[in-house]
Amino acid sequence: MVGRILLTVLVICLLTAPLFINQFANFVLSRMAIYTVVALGLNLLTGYSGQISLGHGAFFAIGAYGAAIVANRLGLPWPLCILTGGLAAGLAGYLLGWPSLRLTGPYLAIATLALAVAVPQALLKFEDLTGGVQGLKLSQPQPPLGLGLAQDQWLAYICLVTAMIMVWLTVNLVRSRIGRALIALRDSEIAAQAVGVSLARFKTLAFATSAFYTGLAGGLLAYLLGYIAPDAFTLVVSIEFLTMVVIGGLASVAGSIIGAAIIVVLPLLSSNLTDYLARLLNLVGLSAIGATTKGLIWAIYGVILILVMVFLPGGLVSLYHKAKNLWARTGPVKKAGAGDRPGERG
Amino acid sequence: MTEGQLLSLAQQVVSGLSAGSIYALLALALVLIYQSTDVVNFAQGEMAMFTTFIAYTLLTWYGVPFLPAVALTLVFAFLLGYLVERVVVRPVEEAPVLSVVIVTLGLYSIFNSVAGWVWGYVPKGFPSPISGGTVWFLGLTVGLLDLWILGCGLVIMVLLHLFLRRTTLGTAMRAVAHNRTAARLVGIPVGRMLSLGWGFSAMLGAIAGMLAAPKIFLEPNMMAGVLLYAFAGAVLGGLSSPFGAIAGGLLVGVIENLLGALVATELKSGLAFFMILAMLVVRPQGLFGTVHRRKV
Amino acid sequence: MLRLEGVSAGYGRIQVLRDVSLEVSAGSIVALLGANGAGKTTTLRVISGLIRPLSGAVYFDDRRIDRLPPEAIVRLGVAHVPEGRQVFAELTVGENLILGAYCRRDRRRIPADLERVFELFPVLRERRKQLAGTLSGGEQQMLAIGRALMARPRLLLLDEPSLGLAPMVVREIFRTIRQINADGTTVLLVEQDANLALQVAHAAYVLQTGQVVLAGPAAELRRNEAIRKSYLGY
Repeated sequence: MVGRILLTVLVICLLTAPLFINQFANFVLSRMAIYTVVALGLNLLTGYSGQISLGHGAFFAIGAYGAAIVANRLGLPWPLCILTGGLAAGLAGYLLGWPSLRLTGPYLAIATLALAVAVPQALLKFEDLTGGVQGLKLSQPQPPLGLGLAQDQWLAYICLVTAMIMVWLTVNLVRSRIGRALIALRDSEIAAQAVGVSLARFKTLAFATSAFYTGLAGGLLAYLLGYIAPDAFTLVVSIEFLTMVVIGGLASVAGSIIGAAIIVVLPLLSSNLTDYLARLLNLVGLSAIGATTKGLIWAIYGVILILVMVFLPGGLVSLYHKAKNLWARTGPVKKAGAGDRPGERG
Repeated sequence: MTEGQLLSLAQQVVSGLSAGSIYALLALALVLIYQSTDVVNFAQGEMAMFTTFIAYTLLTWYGVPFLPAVALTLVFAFLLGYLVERVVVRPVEEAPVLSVVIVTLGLYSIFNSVAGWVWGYVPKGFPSPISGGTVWFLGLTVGLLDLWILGCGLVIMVLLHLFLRRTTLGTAMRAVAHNRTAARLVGIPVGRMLSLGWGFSAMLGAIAGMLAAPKIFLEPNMMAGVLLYAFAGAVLGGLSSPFGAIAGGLLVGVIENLLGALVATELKSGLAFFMILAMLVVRPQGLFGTVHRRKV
Repeated sequence: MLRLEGVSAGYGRIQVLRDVSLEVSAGSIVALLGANGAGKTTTLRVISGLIRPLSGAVYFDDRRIDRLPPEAIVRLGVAHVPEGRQVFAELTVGENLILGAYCRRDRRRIPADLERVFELFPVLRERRKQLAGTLSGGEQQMLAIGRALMARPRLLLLDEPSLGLAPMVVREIFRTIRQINADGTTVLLVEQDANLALQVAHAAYVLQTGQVVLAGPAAELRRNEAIRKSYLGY
């Protein structure tokens, strides 16, 4: 009950926010929404289905470029272009799903890594289609007349509503038979097959859906920026995606949202942090030659990744669950029999 | 084929073997770790790059002569690998594969950006006992540097082989890779062996980096492409077979060189991707690997 | 020589042993019997240090060993031949045996001990350069025992040596076990085949769902028909 109220309040806040915050804040909000969609998609694959992907940057790129190319060459309305981007990525995901049937764990990681590196290169190579190093420009969707919205607000709404729809879809998907099948696959492929879950169907489905989400987000990004270029889709983007899913919490919708928010905000905060670090070093008499703040962010990401994996593998969401458990056990009404049997870990 | 074409083909093969021996060394490092711990160290290339930068610092900032600098670098690499296993990897060893992959990716990020932060992104030259020059060998003009790389690579591989096969410590490390429980029961300190494995892998990586740097120039992103090819080689040869790693690495080097002439260089990584994918689909255990039977 | 006092142990949330106490006197062969899942293998794993007990203590020569790492316990003179042999399949027979002596400080006596193992199991000498994985089940069992002997143990833990082996091979192995004991090594033998075990053992313990339900000299247990039928299955 409390949860529902909080959720409704949150949704209302989000939907009214774009009207009151400035242009940059709307931009950040839009990016958070876009990354949430990616996180949901990646979580479907990695969190719920247990398949590692280091290549989601590739699907992001396919979605973005798919939307941009279709928009520029066919002049379709923007919802269709974004959808096309999503479907193109989904198709790529489906195709990747087939070889992934025979790959597990590290092998899959390597294959997706190779994909993540190959796609930016292909983007550079096929200049006629992708604009090569220069990239592609897109005309951004104009707010409908009569609503009195600015461009940035309209874009924020598009991203927010899309993200909310995807969240709702995901929640329902996870609870459905399909979701349970995916989780069964993650926990034990062999056992799942033994009870009739078709490995082939669900693995490829997981890949395709995950890629579709990411492609959709890519299409949104293309419109948000009005411009895309290959250097926005390098391997680091794939690592960024994985980081946010891990920080937020695998196999958790709330985790996806939290992780996305953090990943978008972190670079904004950390530029101060690295300046601070550089000044600290200067005090001690050392100086770093290549003291570019951009570079050191990745070190910070790396440290965060490791710390989270070692100390909080369930991500930030697990902190919430732990707090909840603690409250249930030590709070005012202690439930009888909870973890009281000897030899059992509570 | 004319004699000229045949010769030029042979030359491509030789220089492909030279690049291949660098891939092979790195692939070997990957396989050593994977064999004993089921961990794929995505940070292997970055660790190699980092230790090569250390060598560079010793050589150019502190003016240490070549051989002592190399020796010190190898010691540093060993300690680095040992510590990384002990401190960062050990806590997540029992965790699902994803956790370990993410940890190595975290290491990737850290090494890459710290290197960039300390030494900058401008490519630097790396001193080498052999620089330019060619040699006339069986009717071929072969780059001296290429021969040097190939030679060093082969020597290292032979030394490693002898170590693993002929010494008790090497045999113990192999035992730990194949059957950890039995190794424990026989009294082999498994944890220490794993750390040693990481230490040796880091040393192999350092050698690969120091051999490659004179050719591809030292900069923080130098090993990314090499790592991908090392993966291709390891997968091709079979992630569970050191011999396969060597064969795979060399093979990938030769293929890359031959195809590089035919196909545009920008697509080479895409090529690596398709090679890996094709291999994994057709024969996941690689050319020389053994099928990994999983217990239900 | 070996004493377990009130040992409880398990895997994660599953408790397998409850308050197990037993004693193995020096120079004897003690059998640990019971049905599948009774906790016999777990008991051996607690002794050799693979598992840490939840409560209770393990004493070897009056020295507490239940907190020590496996390699320390091997060095004290306890060798464990695990269930299913667990030879190093991809190493040769010779390499397997050499590794058995990994913990030994007195390296000069290793060649002599190797000879002794080859005398006990001549087939291993023949197959010295062969990969252990290519050996037959019986030969692998001999290799596993030989490997354990290379550590010069004073206590030998054997987990189901007869499992999956032909009767003739089993008889040969048990004959060797008697020989090893006669040469001075104490043996703690886990066996599902109670009849076989009671023929070589001096004393026996019977485990049922993680608890000791019966203990006594082997001769007594052999004679008592009621006990045989209800606990030992024959």
